[in-house]
Amino acid sequence: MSVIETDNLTKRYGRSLAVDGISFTVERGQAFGFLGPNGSGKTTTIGMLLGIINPTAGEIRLFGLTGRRGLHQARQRIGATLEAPNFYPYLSGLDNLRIVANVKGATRKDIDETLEIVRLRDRARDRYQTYSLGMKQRLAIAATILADPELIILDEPANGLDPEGMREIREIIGTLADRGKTIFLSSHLLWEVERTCTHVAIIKKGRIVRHGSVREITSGNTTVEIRGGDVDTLHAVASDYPAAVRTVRSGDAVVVELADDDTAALNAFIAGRGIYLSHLAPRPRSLEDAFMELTGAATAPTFGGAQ
Amino acid sequence: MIRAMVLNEWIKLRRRPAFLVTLFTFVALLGLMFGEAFVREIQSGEGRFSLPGSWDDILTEPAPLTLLFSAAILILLVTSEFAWRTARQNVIDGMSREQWFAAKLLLVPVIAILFVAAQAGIGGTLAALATDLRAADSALVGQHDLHALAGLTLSALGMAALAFCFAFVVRGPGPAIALFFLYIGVIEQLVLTTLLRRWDALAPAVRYLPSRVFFTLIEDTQYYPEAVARAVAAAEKAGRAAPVFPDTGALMTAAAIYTVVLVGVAYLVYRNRDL
Repeated sequence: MSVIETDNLTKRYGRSLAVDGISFTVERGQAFGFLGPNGSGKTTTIGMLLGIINPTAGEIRLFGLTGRRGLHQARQRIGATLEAPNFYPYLSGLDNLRIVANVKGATRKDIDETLEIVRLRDRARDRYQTYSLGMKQRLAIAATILADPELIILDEPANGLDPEGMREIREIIGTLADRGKTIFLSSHLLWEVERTCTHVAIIKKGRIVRHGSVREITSGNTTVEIRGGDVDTLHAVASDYPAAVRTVRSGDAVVVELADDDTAALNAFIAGRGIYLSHLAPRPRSLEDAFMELTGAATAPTFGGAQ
Repeated sequence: MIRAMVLNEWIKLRRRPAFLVTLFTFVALLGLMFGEAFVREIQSGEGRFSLPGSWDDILTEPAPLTLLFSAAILILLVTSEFAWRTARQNVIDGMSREQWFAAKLLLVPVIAILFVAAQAGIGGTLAALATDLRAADSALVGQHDLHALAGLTLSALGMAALAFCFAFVVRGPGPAIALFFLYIGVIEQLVLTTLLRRWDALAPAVRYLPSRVFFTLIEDTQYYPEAVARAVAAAEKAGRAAPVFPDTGALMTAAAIYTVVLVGVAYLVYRNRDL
């Protein structure tokens, strides 16, 4: 059963098209990653799903329900945070959760259990404004999972966190995924998404450029990492190799994407140019590789040579 | 959901420093105003601050403060929900947009009535303490007093609705308060009044501009014949024409209509904008 379905969803701000007719589906039990560069339309799309941004056109169906009343009913089965945690700064974490619990129909016992999950029980009576960023994010997750929602939507849950905070958030998301919750995760941290999600959609300039399982998206040509001699010379030689689809410098190594899987021929070609490799190893294609390729993100390593 | 809405507004309100400080300041100002009259009355025993005669002063003198304090705090309470993005979070958490609007709308009568009750309660209590109740030969609250209280309440509701509308249109606490005071102090009093007076046919409409209606409704001349007589005598003494006072019933109707229209405008603005 589809938990989220969008059909030709569009949002226009004046002349600017923030979301350009996107259509995608999230099935029950999926951990779905929603990826895209900054300003690609991720948060606007999530805002429309959650009913806080009015779509210009298109249709949203949540849990099979549509229309104003149907979507409101469906949204009661969702727990979500959008961008930064949004709470009343002068209230305690506990009072903030009470407000959420009153709306969701959750009990005090639910609040206590949730505080336990996000490890905030000891600081629950402190004012929200005294919390660290990590604690604020954990409180946001607590509010999200309160009353055991069927669908959890998290927009950049690890934003601004230190490695320890990120690890905590990753563990919580992992626990939720293990419980069989449907998770819709928007994040810049591609390796996090790759570890957590089963399916992804990649959005660029308001359009979905790829949509499918992580395995489908990361499958592709054989990629190898090679080392030997001067890296610039090696990069230039590898770029001349006829079966090289793309080459990229990566530290003291060069990563070569091949049109075939004949690594011996690559080795022989480079040796023929007077360079003897000290290292040649296959490198699995990561979600980050796929993301960079599909979005041409500025943060990507610059591919050259045979590109 | 109504129970949840009321509970949540109560949790937010009772711990909100801005609300508590505003209410405390308002009560302190009332205490100073009525306290001084009370002390004078205790010392002199002249009956100038006693019931039922002092309801006129109690209900009308501090009323502009009541209107402005309640409007300012209402703007703060609504706009902070946009500034902290808790408005969008409340909707994300499961309220419909209409329910969230209704929850904020609850604040209009609550704040208006709370501030009016503080004014009437503190003034009335101190005046009652200064009155020899055993010697009182008439009811402690008269018909005119009840009319004045109704007018004050309606006026506070109307001003709160005006503030509510500004809060939804502007959304930022500082700009909303600044624009609200700019509107009632400059735009309506000077600009609109000047413009309307240029056309004879529109000149009578000046007295029915929103804040003019709300402020006229808290004047004692709308309810107390003695106040009207004093105003007429003062005009005669100054050599001016006798003042004409607008019909109180028409003003109350206008105030009620404005209250509904302003809330309606706030809703339309809210509905058509993203959170």
